[in-house]
Amino acid sequence: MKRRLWLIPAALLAVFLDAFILPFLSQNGIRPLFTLSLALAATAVTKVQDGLLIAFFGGLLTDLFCNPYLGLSAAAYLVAVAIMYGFVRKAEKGRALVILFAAVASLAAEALIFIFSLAIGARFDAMRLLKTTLPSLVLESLAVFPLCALFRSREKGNSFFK
Amino acid sequence: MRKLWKNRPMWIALIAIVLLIVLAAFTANGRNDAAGDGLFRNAAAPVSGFLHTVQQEVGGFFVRVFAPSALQEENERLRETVLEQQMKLALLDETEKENARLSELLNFAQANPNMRFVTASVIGRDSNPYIDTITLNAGSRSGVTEKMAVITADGVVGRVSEVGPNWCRVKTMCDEKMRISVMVQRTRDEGMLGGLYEEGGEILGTLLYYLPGKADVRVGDVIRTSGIGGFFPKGLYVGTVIAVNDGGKGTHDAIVSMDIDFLHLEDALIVVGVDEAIG
Repeated sequence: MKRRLWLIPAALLAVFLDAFILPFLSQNGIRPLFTLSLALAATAVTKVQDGLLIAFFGGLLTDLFCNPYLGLSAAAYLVAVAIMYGFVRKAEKGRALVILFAAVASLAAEALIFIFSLAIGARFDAMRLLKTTLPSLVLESLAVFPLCALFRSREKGNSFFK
Repeated sequence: MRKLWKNRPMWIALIAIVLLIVLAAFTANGRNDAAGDGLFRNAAAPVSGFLHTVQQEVGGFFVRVFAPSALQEENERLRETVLEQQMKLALLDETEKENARLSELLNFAQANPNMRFVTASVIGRDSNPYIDTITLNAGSRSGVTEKMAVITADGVVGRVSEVGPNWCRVKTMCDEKMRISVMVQRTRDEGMLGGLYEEGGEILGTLLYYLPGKADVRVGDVIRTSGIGGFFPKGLYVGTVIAVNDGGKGTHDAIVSMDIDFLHLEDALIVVGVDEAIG
């Protein structure tokens, strides 16, 4: 319980960055999702429940503040956390692999958002995918590593990120 | 993999994902079509608006605090845009005015098909407050020669006194030594127009003299060129009589007010030829 308490302000900070700061500072639409990075890092370092909670509530809050479709980010983050969990469970140790796992998990989240957008009639824009989505995804994945290191300094939970 | 599916958090996550996607789809419909006319959209609208405002305000505050340079840059860019637009507006205004002036000259030229004109713009003015000489941007290359008449739709401007390849100097009606032969349109009485009439330092008009003693000149009479002397084509508008002075020695004098604003004259027509057959 004590562990989750310090995750709450961290998650709120991530939502705050995603909803309030990054939309104004992003360059050419490139904008990493810190809430997702945090959820993935929590999954890799602490317990999957932490990652799921951050993904669910963080995603919902982000949607509430700055996304047109309520629940889409939360669903995408949950998918990413589930995939990250699948990787983490199989790999015994993977300090370097965490970025790769995070990239695949983020890609899955983006894929869900992308498919949903197409389903509701959005136009397929390959250039946007290459110029904004993929760079954002790379940044998200890279952000997972320092977050994991930060979590690791506080937690002794999951043995994956050692 | 089996362990994964037995994992309760994963099942909960899966259900949550499905429910959240349904919720997202529901809000998408709520935004796009009539299905959204329901309770949810109406209830969510003010909340959504409030949250959006909060997001804009809070985000804007932090950007102002932590990234003032971005705001300064934007401010600078906007300022440049405003300046650019102002310049374009001024240019457009100037173009409109020029268009109006040239249209007026064109109308005048079309109303006088017996005359051939060269349109010219004023490129120089005497510093003399009476503006007795102006310089136009047309010269010998355009067929301009000395003593040609220079006019506008508002009347006679003056006469070309000096010609260069691409410029000419015009002695205006304000010049003390300028004289042209004119006639009263109504009575056909002829006289000589020239020299300024001042009263209390204020120029009231030009003097019309050498009118016959029996001439019936009245205030309001229109004065036109008589064609005598050959420099000015006959019938060009000059001005209107504003005062008559009976000299008592068989002649009349009158003061003629001209409509041309010599201080703000910008374009003029140089009469380069007159087709007498038509005229």
